[in-house]
Amino acid sequence: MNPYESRQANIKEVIVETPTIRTFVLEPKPALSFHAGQFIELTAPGVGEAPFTPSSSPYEEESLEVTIMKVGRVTSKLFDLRPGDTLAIRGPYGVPYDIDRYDGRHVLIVGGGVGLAPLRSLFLALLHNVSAYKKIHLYYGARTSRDVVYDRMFKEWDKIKNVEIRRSVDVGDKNWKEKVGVVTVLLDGLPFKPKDGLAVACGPPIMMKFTTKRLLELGFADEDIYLSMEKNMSCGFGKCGHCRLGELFCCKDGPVITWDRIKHLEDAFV
Amino acid sequence: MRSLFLPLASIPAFYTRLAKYGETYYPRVLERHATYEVWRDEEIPAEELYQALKMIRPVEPLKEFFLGSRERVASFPQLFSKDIKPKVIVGAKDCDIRSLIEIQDNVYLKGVLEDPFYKERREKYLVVTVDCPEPADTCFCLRIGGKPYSAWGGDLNLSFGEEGIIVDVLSAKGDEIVEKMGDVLTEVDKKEIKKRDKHRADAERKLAKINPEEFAPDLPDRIEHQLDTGFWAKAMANCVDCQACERICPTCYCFLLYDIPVGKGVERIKVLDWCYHAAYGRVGGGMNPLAHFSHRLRNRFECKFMAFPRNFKVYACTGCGRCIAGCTGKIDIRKVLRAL
Repeated sequence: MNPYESRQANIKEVIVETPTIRTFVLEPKPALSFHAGQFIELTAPGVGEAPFTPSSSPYEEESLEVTIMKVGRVTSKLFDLRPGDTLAIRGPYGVPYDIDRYDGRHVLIVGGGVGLAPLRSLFLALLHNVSAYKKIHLYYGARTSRDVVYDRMFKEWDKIKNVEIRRSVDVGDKNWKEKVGVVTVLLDGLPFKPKDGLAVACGPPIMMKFTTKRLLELGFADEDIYLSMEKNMSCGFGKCGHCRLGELFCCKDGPVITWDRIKHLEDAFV
Repeated sequence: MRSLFLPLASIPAFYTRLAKYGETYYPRVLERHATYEVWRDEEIPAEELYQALKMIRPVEPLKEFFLGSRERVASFPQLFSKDIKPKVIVGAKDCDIRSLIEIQDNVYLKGVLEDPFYKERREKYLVVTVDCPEPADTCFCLRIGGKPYSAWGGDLNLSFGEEGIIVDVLSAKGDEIVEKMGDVLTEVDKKEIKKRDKHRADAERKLAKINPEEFAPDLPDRIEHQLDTGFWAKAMANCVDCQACERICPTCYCFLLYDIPVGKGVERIKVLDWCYHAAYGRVGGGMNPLAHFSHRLRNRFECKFMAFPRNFKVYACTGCGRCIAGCTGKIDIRKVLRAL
């Protein structure tokens, strides 16, 4: 087996989420199965690879969705692609969420911006067995109402009995009827005791830093704070060295790493 | 362990026999430094070959053979099969064979996946290590877990006796090779072994004299707690960012993958990468956790002397001294480690 080889994936659909974020629905050949929390290396043909965590349910076997923000070379090329085009993927890599630990507890999911994409995969995996948890709390913050991803789905998710949803935008406008403020404002008035639950966060580094700080203030245990520490992961399987974080490698020991494993570092969020 | 004797005059014949196994690289002195060359049955005086074997580690680290600085690792949609032919490398010192076994093997053969290219080379390449009887001022293997001689890790080891070379057989592959050596190798005399042991003890003494001080045993903790950017800025004050230290380091293992369009397909290329490079840590969107050079310098020390020993119980440094010898700014890694 050659771990550097990719498999082909046809683009089935491209969903425009926001002006800079799109969801690509892919059909890998052969099919690629993954667990929530794992990531793939996606190739923009002729340009190169970048790591992404799928945003679809791991129980969906036919296709796989990846929600991507246009920020650089690879993502710009991906935005040029249309349904019917082909790209390449390899993986999955990384350690899945240990969701067995979540049974019987409150699960707090905190997403910032496009950081909700990998959390959506976890959220959908949890919904598969929703009664196993005390409650799933999905808290999401975006910059403005125009930057909110999966807007069409939130309405459906809000109807699910065991799910609580809170959303905020940094800058409000006349169309936004929900909370205004950075995502941590959603953590005020938490409807459960932190010792009865755990928290999973993903978003830009600054959001992760302050979310972790707030979660610790609220009393979440270090080992109950799950953070997506996605760095420059080139190979995906712990060889190339780029994503080292202290003694860990984000690609093979993460990318989701609990706070107790990185809290000793000078600044894990830089 | 089986030991045989190689008379000085038979060194060319020894290389010729090795070359039957695969392309054979041997050390040759060029501008006062040993460097690897391909053996082509040339008429080189045995004495010249003998003196080259006695030099410190060749300029090129052993990883040059096993990792390569640039290679194709995949292509699509059409796949390719790798074509790795046997090679023989003569002249690796203990510092280099340890860089392979203790560092590169841990990275490339262990963990979640193996690197199939590295693995095949490790299986197909024969390494003939050589004692290091005359350490240089830049050498410090003794202070970082090594010795100026190698009795393990390679397939054969060459050491220096009274009138020739002692060949220790260290692996089954090595045994198979010496079986086919015929009269090139003879029985070894006890007085040769005795002389070899004296050479080894002398080399150890010389190394201890060059490096009188041990390093602090808690280097990982010292690095973890050295957060003063002023310390690292001072340590790198003379650095001109040439990255020579990383390119010639036998233990640096980082690489980068990139794709190039070829015809209607794509080829994936693996190139060795250097953590002093400004874009090393940069992610999509331009964020760079190692944007400042002092952070990159600390990152390198953290990798070698904190993360690696915590993960694999060994420093990612074998004391070969190439980084000291090759530094344009005359930075001595030993001084940085002692100042921590």
